[in-house]
Amino acid sequence: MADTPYQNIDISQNNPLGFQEEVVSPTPAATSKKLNPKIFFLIIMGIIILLLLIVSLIVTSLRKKGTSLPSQEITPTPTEDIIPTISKSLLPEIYQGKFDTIQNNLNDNLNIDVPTLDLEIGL
Amino acid sequence: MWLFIFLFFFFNISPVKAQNQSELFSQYKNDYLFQRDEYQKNYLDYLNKKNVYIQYRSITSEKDMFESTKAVLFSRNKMLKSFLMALRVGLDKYKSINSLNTEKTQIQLSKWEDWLDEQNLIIPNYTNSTDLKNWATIFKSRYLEIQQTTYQALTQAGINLRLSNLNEIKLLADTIKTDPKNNNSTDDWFADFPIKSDLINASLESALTIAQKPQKAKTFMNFFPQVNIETQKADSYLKSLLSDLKAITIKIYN
Repeated sequence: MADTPYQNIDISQNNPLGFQEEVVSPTPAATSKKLNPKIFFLIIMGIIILLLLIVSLIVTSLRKKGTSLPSQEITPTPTEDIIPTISKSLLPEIYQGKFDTIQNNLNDNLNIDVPTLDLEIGL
Repeated sequence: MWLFIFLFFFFNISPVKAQNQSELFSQYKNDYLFQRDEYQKNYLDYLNKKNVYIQYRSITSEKDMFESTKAVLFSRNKMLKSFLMALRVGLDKYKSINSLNTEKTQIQLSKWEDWLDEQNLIIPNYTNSTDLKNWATIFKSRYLEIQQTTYQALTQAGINLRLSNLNEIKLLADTIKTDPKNNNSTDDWFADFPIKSDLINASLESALTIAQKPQKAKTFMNFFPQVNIETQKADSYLKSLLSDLKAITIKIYN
């Protein structure tokens, strides 16, 4: 009578034949797969790129049609009127003195500071 | 001979007078600056005495504070008076261009100078802090009027200066217009002169209206920045006129 290898049927791991039985885990069969954060990030980036592409396509098509978007007009900053300076030497001598006097008088403001008072003194 | 002497004095009066006015203003201004320094010294002394009184609350420190308060109020009035005097004298320079309005402003300034003098006769007589406090309250309310007069005077000074400059430019333009070298190519510019002149006058009128507006609030509403906008507009037109006139003169002579 040939020897048959002994197999302990109670302990499946201890199998002298060398093959293993699949261990059936007690966990439920169907589990929800969570998205990898990297993949999630890639998806978001993809959506943004796609949106930008669509917007750029719309803008390009609008420009081609001639309906340009409202351009941002640069508001001019108020500046003093630029008055050309005229060389003194070009002026005839008979009027030079008069012009100089008027030019000097233009800035002849009453140069006096208004005093600042503490009105709470004595109160 | 007599005619020569008469003419000599007649033509020499104006420049000497003008020089004296400038010197006089300079003297009054220096006096004001001196009084301002005095006020600042007294003010620091008053603050020190006040701090000592707050810290110790003693009779001596209270008396010291009372005396320093009187001193600082006295010097404040003197400073203010010297400022108003300088302002009044400063208005003389271009008074002839707008004598009526300038005279009115100068009378107002004189009125406040007298009032401040009167107050300085009263202040040394106070012997208790209650009377001094009442006086300080009255001064505070009157100061609104002083401020208005002050800025009205500054406005008037600015208007007078610009009117005088406009007048000088006009006189020069008239001289150049009648210059024998002038052909009729510049007639258009001379014809446009009244338009720019009107624009200057309008800006100055506007400045005057702003300054004359009565103050309704209990605190002073400073209108001077608005006045400055109008006078700057006038300046811009004046500069433009002068520049054009220079260009025309060069054109005529070249």
